[in-house]
Amino acid sequence: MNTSSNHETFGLLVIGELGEFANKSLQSMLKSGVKRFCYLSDSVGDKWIRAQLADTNGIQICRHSNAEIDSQVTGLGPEGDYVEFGEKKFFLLMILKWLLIKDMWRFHSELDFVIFSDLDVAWKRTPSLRKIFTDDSKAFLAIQDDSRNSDDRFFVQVL
Amino acid sequence: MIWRKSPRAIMILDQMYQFQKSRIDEGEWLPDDKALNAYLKHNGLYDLVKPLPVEEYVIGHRFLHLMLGIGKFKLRKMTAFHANYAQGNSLKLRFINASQLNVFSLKRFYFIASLLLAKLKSRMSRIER
Repeated sequence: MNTSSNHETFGLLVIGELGEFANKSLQSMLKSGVKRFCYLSDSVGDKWIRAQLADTNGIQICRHSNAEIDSQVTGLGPEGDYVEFGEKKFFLLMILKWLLIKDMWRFHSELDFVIFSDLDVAWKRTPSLRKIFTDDSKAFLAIQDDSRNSDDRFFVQVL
Repeated sequence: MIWRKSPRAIMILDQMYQFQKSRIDEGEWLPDDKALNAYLKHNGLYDLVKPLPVEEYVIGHRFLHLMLGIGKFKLRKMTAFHANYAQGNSLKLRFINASQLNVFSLKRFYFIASLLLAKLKSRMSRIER
C-alpha cells in the first residue's frame, strides 16, 4: 500500500464565503503537512479558498467539477446567501461530499485514500493511514466515533 | 472521515448520494450522519467501517475533557478536533484556536480558567433562579 501521497491530500467542501474559523482550520491542515487540497465549491467559495491560500507555496489546489456537480451546485440557488440549519439548502450541501470524493478518485488515480474534512476541524497532524487500515483489510471507511451519544451504532458526526 | 478506494467504496458513494438525495427531494431533511448510519445499518456494513480512536479524533462535546486533560483526552494525543458542537462563528473560532495551543502555554491555562468561570457563573445564576 502506497501511503506517501495519500495522507497529504484532503477533500473539502467550500460553499460561500466562510468565516475566520474556516481559515484557521485550513491553516491547521497546512501546518500538519497537507500537500494537496481537492475541493468542490461555488464561485464565491472558490474565490475565498484561493484568497486564503494565495501566499502558500508548494501546495496543489484542485477544484473538482463535472456535469452532476455543477447541476447540484446550481440547484442550491443564489450564491453567498446565509444557510440556516433546517433549510433544504443546508441538507443539499451535505450530499455534495459524496460527489467530491468520487470525483477525486476519478481524477487522481494514484490516491488509495481520501481524507475528507469539514472546515470546522483543527488538525494537529495528518492521519496515520497505516495504523488505521492495515490491521483490517476489508474496511473501506474510518470515521469519528460518537456511539455513546446516540441510538445509532456509531459515527454520529461525520468528520 | 477517511475513505479507502475500492470498487465497493465507489459503489457505496454512488448509492449514498442517491439515497440521501431522494430522501431530501421527498421532503425528509436527512443529515449526512443519519443518512450514513441508516445506509450502513440497512446494508449490514457496520463491520466494514472503523471507528477512529475517540482520543485522537476528538468530537466537539469533548472539548472540556480535551482542554483539562480528563481521562484519555490529551492535547498531545490529538490528531484532529472537530468544533461541530460549537454554535456560531466566534465560538467555533475560540474552540479551534484553543485546540491548537501548546499543552503548557499560559494562554491555555487562561482559556481553561475563563471556561470554568463561565460554567460556574451559569450554575450560580440557575441556582439563584
